[in-house]
Amino acid sequence: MIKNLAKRITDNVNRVIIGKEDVIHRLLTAVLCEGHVLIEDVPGTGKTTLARALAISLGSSFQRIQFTPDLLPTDVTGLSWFNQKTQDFEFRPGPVMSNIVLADEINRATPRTQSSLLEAMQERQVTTDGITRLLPRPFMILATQNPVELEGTFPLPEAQLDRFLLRIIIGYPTQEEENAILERFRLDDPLLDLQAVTTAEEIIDMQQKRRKVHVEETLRDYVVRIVRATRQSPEIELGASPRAALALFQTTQAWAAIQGRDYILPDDIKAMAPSVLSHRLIISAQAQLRGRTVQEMIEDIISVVPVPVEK
Amino acid sequence: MRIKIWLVTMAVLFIIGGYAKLSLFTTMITSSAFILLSAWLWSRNSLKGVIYRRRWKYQRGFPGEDTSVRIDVENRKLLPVPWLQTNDTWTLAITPENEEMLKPSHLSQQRMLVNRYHLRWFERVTRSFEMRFRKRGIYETGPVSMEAGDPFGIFKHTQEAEKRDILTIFPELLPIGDLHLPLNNSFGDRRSRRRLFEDSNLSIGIRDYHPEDDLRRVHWKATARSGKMQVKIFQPISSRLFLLCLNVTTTSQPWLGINSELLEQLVKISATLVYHAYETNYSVGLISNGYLARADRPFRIAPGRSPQQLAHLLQALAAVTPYTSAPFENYLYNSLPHLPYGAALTVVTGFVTSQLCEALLRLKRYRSHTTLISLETTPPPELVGIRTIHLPFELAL
Repeated sequence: MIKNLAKRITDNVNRVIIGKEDVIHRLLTAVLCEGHVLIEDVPGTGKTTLARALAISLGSSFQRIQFTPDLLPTDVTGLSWFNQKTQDFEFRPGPVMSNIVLADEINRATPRTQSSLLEAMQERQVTTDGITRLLPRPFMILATQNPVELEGTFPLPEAQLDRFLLRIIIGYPTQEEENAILERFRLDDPLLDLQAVTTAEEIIDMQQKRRKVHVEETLRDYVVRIVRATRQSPEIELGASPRAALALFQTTQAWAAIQGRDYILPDDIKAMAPSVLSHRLIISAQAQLRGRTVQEMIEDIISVVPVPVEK
Repeated sequence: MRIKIWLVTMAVLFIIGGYAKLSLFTTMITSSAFILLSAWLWSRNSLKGVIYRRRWKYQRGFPGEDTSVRIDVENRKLLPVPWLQTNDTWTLAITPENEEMLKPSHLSQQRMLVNRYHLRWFERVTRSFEMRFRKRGIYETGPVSMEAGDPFGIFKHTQEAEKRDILTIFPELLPIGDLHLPLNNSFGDRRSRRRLFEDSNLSIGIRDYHPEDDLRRVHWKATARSGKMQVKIFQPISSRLFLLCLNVTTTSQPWLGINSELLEQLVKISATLVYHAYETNYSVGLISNGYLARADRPFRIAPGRSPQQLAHLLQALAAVTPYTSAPFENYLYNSLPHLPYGAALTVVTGFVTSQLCEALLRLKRYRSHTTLISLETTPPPELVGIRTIHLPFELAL
């Protein structure tokens, strides 16, 4: 059932976004795990379009927040204002009160504003003026960062980075895909005709079904060994946390379900590990000086940690 | 062409054998032609789907450091490759402990890393080699030439893969004590109690209101809570800028050539200074009148403290050559508008000329602190307001 849902959503999003099936599947993984996604990519690769297409396909509300240095926390969460007519305070909800929120260029806002998202991401609620308001379900934050322009930015703190379930890089399209994009958008914008292919209730149901995907004990141990290996590597200054281990466990279940299986394989863990772990690791300055990248280190760890085999 | 000659010859022999009714002969010719054709087709397709990949542990490092390279060769097709030889062009600057592993090459300063394989269908073979970085510079490995053929060894097919890797060997670092910099004020900046500029986006606390405080700084919520006027404290913007200026000229006159040992010493001192400055939280920049390898102009790196800045600086020093387009003094004058205000400037030079002294005195008017490090055998002249350090370089005989 999850596979059918994933296929419907993927086909629908593909009407707007050419190719990038892997990226769409990873976003769906995050939806099934009720997690948030950090998209790190250069401008013009379709981040906003992808987020909009996904929101429409899921039948969900969508809001975009453009982060700037002067953005205030209340611009994100909402604020109470005094209505002169009613002589009472009224709460005006902020853009975070949507099913899917695109936080564009999140590293341009001050740490204070970034932290206003922390409660939303972790607790799925916002507190303003002492009143706690629950966020709608399903709820997902898609945050974007430009990896190239670092001037005038506030790098996300480690605590906030750890709250993102996945980090995804969309990348440039292939030549054929780029030609197809020009053709697809030649006459009109396909986003305008896009319709929902599922409902919020179905998504919530699938999120519950995801939890039932079977994980063999040896594979659970494999997940833990991979995460612990990141803490033991001399080239990694800060390894992955237990939250990362849980994230890897859950995303592997979702990934297997999207492939149509009700059990996971070691290959699912290997497929999800880079997206789950890469933004949570801090490599040592000496390793960085010598040209090592986080992706290479994760690949090395995966190749070194023995894969459990059936006896 | 060779196969056509063979097939034509076989055809002629077949006709002769058929005409002479020599059935055994014609059978042998037919079998031979079949084997020849199969061998030719096998050889022609042997390198299709064969992937050669190099994966370095470290692509950058200091001389004397070890790295390893993993070479994966993969056959992504059903047809086995009975023999495969790869000839990878290799630089002498990055070699294994046992240099005899590398075979000679017709190119100077190059060798060949030769490997032989036998690959079944969809098989991948991985070999690892330990290498050592030897000498400063930017080097390339590759391209790789692959030769494979049929099982009988009759035909051979060659293909070149433009797989090149760029490797950087940074300059060697010297002990910072050898540079005779003062311990408490290495680059000329001191901590200041006065905060000139503040970042209004970063509030780090609150304090009581003073009459001279701007009302825009008032923290109204804290004031309401405490009943006394409170103002925000903003984080001061502090910038410790360090700019190193490297003069790569190694002889007093251009026709005297290049003193490569002196150049290496200049580069080592520069690398040591930028490394030490970066490690002590300076925003470090670098300018030099020397061209970078494969470039046709001198370079300038603006001061910065990003995680990649140190690598950029050391890469530039790894690539710097002794070739210049203009005297260093002219280059300093031209760079003056681009030099950040308030940066501590350090000039590293093998020669101190009167024009250089004049240039430094002019620069002193705009810079907070200027240091001159001279490697000339005679001590540099005393310059007012400019700290001079004399590190005479003598060529080892």
